[in-house]
Amino acid sequence: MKHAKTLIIGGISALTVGATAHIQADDTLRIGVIGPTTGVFSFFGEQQRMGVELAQEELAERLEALNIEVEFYDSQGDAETTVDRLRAMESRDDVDLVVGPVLGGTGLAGLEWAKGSGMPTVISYSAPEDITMRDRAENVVRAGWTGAQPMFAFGEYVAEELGHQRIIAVGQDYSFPYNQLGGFLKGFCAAGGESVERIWHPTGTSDYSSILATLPDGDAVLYNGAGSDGLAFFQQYHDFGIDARMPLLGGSNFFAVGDLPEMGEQAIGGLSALQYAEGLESDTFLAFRDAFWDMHGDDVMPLAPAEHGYVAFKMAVNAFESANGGDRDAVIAALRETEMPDAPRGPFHLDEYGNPVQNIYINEVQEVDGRLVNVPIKTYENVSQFGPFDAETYLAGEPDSRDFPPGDCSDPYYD
Amino acid sequence: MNTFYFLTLNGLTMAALLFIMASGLTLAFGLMRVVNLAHGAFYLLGGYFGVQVIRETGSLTLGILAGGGIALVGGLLMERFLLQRVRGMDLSEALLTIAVGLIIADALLVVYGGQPVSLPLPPELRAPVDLGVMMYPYFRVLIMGFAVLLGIALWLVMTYTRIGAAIRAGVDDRETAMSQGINVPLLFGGVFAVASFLAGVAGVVGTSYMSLTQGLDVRVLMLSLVVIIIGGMGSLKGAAVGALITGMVSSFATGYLPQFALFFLFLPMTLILVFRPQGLFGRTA
Repeated sequence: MKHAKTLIIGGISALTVGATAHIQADDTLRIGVIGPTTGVFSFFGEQQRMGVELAQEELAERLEALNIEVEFYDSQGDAETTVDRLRAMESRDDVDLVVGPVLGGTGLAGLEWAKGSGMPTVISYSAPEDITMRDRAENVVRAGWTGAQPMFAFGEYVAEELGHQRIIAVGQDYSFPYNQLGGFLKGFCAAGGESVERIWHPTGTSDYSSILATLPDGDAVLYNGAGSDGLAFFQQYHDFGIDARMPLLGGSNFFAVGDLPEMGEQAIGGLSALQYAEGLESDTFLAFRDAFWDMHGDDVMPLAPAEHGYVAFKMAVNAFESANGGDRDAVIAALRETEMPDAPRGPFHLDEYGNPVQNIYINEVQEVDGRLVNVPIKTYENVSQFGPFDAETYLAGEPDSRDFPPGDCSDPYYD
Repeated sequence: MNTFYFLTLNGLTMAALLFIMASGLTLAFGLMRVVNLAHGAFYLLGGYFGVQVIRETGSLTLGILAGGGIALVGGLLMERFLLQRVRGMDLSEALLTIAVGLIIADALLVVYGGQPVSLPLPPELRAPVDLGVMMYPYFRVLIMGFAVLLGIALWLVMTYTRIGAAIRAGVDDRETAMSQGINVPLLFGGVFAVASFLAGVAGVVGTSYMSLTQGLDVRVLMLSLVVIIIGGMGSLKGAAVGALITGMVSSFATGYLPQFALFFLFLPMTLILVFRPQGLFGRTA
């Protein structure tokens, strides 16, 4: 017992010494990268880390010239931990710029903190639209997307190209799917769709058989969710043979992040929309993918969180370069001017609210070289976070919620 | 009408899975008054390991046995080396089982990662069969059949064998049973091991339609607790009836009011706790 106590005390003092020995030189620029690298959502954080590491390797010379150091922080997918880490970055580690967070809730927590601190922040995969809309902050820009952004185009595509009139939307009951469906409805109704019926289920539902039993009739089902909920829904949808009655469309994360290998061949032909596709054939994308595979092995597919981390990091380095150092105002100004003509996902620039204006791809799951990938079959160019609307009109409206916008396209709202 | 049968069958499938989980849990509780809060973690452990075995060997039976087996070993070790040390201290026992559950779940996260996992079932098991009233996936029918067989087997053991009689005696009155020469702690070890085995089996079987993921352990545990609270702790019959009630309520609630599914799931339990705290078939302590 006494022995154990000595060990513990010894360990703690060693850790303390280690932490304080972190000596800081003043001309060093520090980038703190934050994402969930442990815990249930580690897949997303690991993808981001791998993307950032690739960018680090590619930019090695410039990093050295600018004297940039990179430190990774683990948010554990938890909002409180995220804020703790962010505080540590600022007060303890003297970080000059933050890349991340990755998840929805941690992104909002990060935004709140960044507003108070003024830290230049490049949010990567985290998608709540208000980060770059109603709650936007001068010092926070985004390398990724808003939940509604890809869905405007998807709604339009589903109504126009697939000719579906009535959609049954099943989704996880929280803000991200609301936002996705909001974007979908706005595109769908404008393009001649008739109605969308919503069914929300609590996050973490594992048995969907009863939802499937009472599924109303429509032209197609749109599932808005991912992770284990998405996988279970997908499997049970096919178990009960509902795919023979109505095709299954995916929200942006449904086929796009991680579940595809588990879904198997039944996923082939599945449609969804995102600003990214791992089946892109452009030279910039292939170069990115091959470099990624060289670095991390080709059993890991670089997905959107990886590319967004990669691009966010490049945005940060570019900003330091044009600001000629770490002066906050100059870095923020440079960040807001970001143009990325050669991002792997395709060219984009930031709108005046700090969110990318970018390509949206309609993706189809196909088998390519023995693995399932999302292959773009149609591209919508230069889509902003406001879709077909101008910013003032969009912001004047209500934020998307559980039952807004209306599910009936003949509603006066759509006139 | 079709929807009604559909929802009923869904409810029965869920009840079957819940019964497999709850039957062992409730007997173990009845014997030693230990609520094993690591029960859900054994579900997860059996599930992950069983699916891995199925992927590598292609044998479903082997996978189910392996899933149950590893949970059995885990349960046995936990009972022999940990639970016995804190015997009789209610709070320590409960905390210990929580701790073991957390450790197992975290270890699984390290080994298998956070991505959800599904069970590769052969297509002939996924194919629907005609039940007279409607077509229903074959493996779901098998799950129900398995639960019924398990129920009958447990009932036979409990009613007609010496061990069953000893367990019943232990549940009814532990002190008297012990004074009659029944080795209740040893019996408890056996029941605990069987309960863990069943949790592991449920983990593999349940993964056939619910994808396996971190956090499922807590949800499964919660449902099992709801079942045994409704049925009455220590009662096999109670576990069966509790599972049926919970399965049906959950199925019809998710079918018609998905937003309120959780509310309706806990409603029967709340009512039971208010009006009959010992459960439908439980004895007053």
